[in-house]
Amino acid sequence: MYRGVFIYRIKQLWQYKISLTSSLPLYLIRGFLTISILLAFNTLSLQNNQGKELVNYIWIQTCFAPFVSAWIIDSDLNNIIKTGNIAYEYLKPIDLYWAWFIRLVSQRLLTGIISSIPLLLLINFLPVPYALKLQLSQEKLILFIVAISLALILNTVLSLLVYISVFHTFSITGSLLIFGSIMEFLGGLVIPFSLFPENMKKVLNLLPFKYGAAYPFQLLNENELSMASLIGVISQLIWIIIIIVIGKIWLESNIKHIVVQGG
Amino acid sequence: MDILFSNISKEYQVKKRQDNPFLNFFNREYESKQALKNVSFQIKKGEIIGYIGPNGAGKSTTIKIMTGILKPSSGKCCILGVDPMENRIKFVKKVGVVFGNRSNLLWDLPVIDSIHMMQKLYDIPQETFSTNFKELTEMMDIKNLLHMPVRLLSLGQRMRCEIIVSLLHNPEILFLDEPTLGLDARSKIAVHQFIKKINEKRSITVILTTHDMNDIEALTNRVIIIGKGSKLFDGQFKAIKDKYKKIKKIQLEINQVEQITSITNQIKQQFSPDYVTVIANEIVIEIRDETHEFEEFIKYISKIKAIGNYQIQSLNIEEIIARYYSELDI
Repeated sequence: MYRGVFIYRIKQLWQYKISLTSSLPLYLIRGFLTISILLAFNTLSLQNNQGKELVNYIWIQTCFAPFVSAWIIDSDLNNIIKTGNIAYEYLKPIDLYWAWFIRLVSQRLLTGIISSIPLLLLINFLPVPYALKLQLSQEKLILFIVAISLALILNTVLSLLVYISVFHTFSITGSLLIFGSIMEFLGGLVIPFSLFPENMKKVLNLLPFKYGAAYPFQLLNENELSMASLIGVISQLIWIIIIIVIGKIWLESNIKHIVVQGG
Repeated sequence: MDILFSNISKEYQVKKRQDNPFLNFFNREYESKQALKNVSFQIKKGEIIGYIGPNGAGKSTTIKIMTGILKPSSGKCCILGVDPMENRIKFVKKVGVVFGNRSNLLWDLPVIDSIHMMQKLYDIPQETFSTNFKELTEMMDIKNLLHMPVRLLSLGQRMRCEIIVSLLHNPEILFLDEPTLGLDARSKIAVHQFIKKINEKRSITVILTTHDMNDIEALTNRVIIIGKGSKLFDGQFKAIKDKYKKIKKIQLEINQVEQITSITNQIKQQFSPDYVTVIANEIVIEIRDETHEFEEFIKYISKIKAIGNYQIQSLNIEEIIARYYSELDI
């Protein structure tokens, strides 16, 4: 059932493959710019390891941006809610929450695979301060794949909350402006997580946003895996469950009061 | 009994508007607007029901309640033995819905993809699917449209596909909310024939809302008329037609235009027509064919030389319904 949603959503997005692939240079330039700015601010500390870590962090963030960014919008879904076509969605024998979840995951996945992840092949060979230099071990790689997949799920369920809020606000832009900014800032996408003050980091560790963004990137930068890295995965799981429960309850209560307007 | 609708009412909360936009912003007062008032009816399996009424009468609201999209404020709605609000997933597998003003097809993809997606969503077994698919596409004659993206289809072509998509899972009830909206005459006939055939073949119950009385005439015997939220008529469509059968509309073409007012006045004095209008060189008169008045009127007009040509008609179906609506004051 849900496989159908996945396949046909991918097929639909594939119609716009040129626009998807043309994002590749965009992401590359974005990575360069962010790194240049950070390097300019951090000239003094460039000598030590932090500079290298920052570069890695930015590149991984750029390459996996469609997985972690709040700004990946499914405008079709927004229209479905706004125009009342939700009536049709509602008449399909599927759970709305999971159907929408699949829709959003497939969009993020496809966008990532086509328009940013291929950059990984290129950025290894860039000149020194800009190159991605990772020390990878097998365990680290596996843990990263688990963490980034969970981050994808976590971000999707978080963004589902934004879509559900459209029932109240009638526009995804408004909801996203508020929620997206909070999510990206607190998740360490605007300023790299390691540059936050220590006290703030403690607070942010308690919020879900870090686990959707900064946490998987930091994993790759760590020299050795520790218990703390594993606890991150558990936190991700806990947050995913909490947010799914909130989302489902909220959607359910909205559906009960839904008024599909117009003839 | 397929559909049981008893004492359904629906109220909408509408925010009170004030002229002052500033006050409007802080206004939290709502007034309730009654969309349906105590509507009850029953529909048997295999019937085709025409559900009609003027704009804003509550037709779509009824369809939405029947399909479980809206919750009625009070009353009991029982479709195929279940409340459509409860156990939604099981319920929607048994009904098919077409909203004439919305689309259920994947806009960017060929029609065939939407059809296959429905197969996956509804978990239709391959065998049922292929027989259904073959039968429906042949009946609707859309074979050559299947590989065209939906965005390239014309409205009529798209509507035919929408209807097919809603029937793939063998629903027991088909809800059609203005399926012929904006279709040309030929597409309308194709849709009529299709609905009729599918109703006979599968004894599927069809609920049809429409503004096009030709739809009703071609498809249904029983109509339910709703106006201002209340049910006003439930019965044979023929009964309404019979009611106005006696009214004849006569169009007189006058050769000498200068005489037109005197002739009109004479007619008004001698006979008691229901309705007289003058447009350019034509007089349109309505007379009841009950007493001898009508015969005398015919004799009278055949005598007058100024009348070049005349036509006698019964009211057409649209006029009948318009009359009936105004008679019901809706």
